[in-house]
Amino acid sequence: MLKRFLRQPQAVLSLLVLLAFALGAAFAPLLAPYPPDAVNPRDMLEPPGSEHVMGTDDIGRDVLSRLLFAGRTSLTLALGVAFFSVLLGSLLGGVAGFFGRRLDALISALVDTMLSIPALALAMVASGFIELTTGRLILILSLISWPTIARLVRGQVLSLKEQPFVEAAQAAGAQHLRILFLHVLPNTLTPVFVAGTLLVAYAILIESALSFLGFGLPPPTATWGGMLNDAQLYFREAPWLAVFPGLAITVVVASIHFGGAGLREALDPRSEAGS
Amino acid sequence: MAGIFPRLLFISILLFLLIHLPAGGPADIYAADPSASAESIERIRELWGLDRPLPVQYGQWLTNVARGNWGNSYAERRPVTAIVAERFVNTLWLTAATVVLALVLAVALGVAGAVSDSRFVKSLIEGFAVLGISIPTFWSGTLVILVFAVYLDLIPSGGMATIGRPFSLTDRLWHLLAPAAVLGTLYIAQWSRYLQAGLSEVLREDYIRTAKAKGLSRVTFTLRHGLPNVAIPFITVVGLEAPRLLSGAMVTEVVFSWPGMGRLLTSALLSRDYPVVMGTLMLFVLIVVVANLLTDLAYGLADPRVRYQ
Repeated sequence: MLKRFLRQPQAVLSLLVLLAFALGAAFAPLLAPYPPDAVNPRDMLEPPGSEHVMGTDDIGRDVLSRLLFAGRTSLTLALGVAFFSVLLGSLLGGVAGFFGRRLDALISALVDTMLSIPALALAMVASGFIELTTGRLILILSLISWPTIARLVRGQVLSLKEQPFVEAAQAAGAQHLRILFLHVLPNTLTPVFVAGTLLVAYAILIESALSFLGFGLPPPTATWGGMLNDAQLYFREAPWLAVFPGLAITVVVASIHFGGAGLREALDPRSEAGS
Repeated sequence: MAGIFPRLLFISILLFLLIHLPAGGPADIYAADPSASAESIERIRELWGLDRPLPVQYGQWLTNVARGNWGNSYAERRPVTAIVAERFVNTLWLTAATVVLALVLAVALGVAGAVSDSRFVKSLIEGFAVLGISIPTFWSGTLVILVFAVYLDLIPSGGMATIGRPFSLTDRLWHLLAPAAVLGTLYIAQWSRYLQAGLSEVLREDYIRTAKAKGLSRVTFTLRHGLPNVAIPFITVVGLEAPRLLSGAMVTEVVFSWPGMGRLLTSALLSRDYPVVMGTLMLFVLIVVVANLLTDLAYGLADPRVRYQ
């Protein structure tokens, strides 16, 4: 499987890019040339140069340093959201598909309902009136994102539970929950893992959109979307304020997509990459 | 059909709780004003009914809505229906222009990708598709304004019309161009990839070989025989985008100062204008529900094999 992944150059490149971003985020305190919140009134709106590689913002903070620390927040948040959405979505989708009837009707109705509210609007309302922390934002975005995973898992479980191995487990006297958790759900892992990867990209985008609109984590926490929001007032004089954070978002999200596509190819035995 | 009302009811309760449960409220914004006395803040709360228990408030809201009264905006002191209706029309302009633009370009690109054997065109579509998903609209919008409005001075940097000029269609379309292109990038990307993949599949069918044997040109049989067969599932693909299109439009409106529902919601949330927030959100949900319904109907019309009881 690893071989099949390595055979796709754009997937490998994406993985390396993501690795670089992850390391940059993990070692932000060591790598950042300045403290991310250090205000320096003498160096306001300084263009990129030798002293500040990516320039400074309107209160003299170093853009590169903030970018690295923002990567910490954004990546932690996105991974958290993907993890909890997959957990919740697999659980509810699995239960719905496996037990069917009333439970299925109830959960499916909930999924359809959640999916008919524009996600960004829901996220804005849920985070607009409370004191936002990273943990709370992860919770909010997970509660918004699980339905797509639930729908996917439900579909998978519906077809899996007709398979002979489930019948065999039943014949062996295994209980319902045991069959669901030990036999059925593990078989959904591959598509769920791919969907979960895309959810990381989605979470980065929705978090930055939220910050951009002014409903993200409160200052001084640096986030990529928040930096873009701050850049709004000054981007005519200081375009670097808008260019770098947006570039970071785009590169990371694109890498996740290319990497996810490579993963799907590598995990799918019918795909061309295996031949 | 029958499931729609319970769904709307459930969503309205959920949204109502999300708005009203957190501590603080619209009156607190007035309380921040040092000249406001505790007494007058209490009067405001009473006037808006915010001092009553939540279930009572919700019941009041629901009965009023059932009578067609969505309340008055706290900030503008005008009926919510009037405010939201104005903004809805503006959002409709933006989303309609986006969908039309994206459809035209996606069909052109998708057909080109399916007809041509060139590896280049195919990887162009593929690369464009990933970029379209990855570039956040608030960034591409900012860059478009920076390059085309600020540096090159080719297009207006925002708004719906040139100030001081009477309404004209060309002026409106001129102002729509950049936001629609920015918001549409994602859909051009996704739809062209979908169409290309679908067309390539259809073009391997037997009846296409017949069309080829008749001597029809490649482009002609792709358009006449290929496209209609891809169009039916494509309707669903387009129709299901409604919620994401609305989310995207919200951001685009803020970037391009387009006075639509997204900007309305943003400002109403910041000023805690509860009636406007509820009105805008419920209209968002209603649009999605109606879009899903229309998708099903269009599917039935386009494919005579589909019949609804």
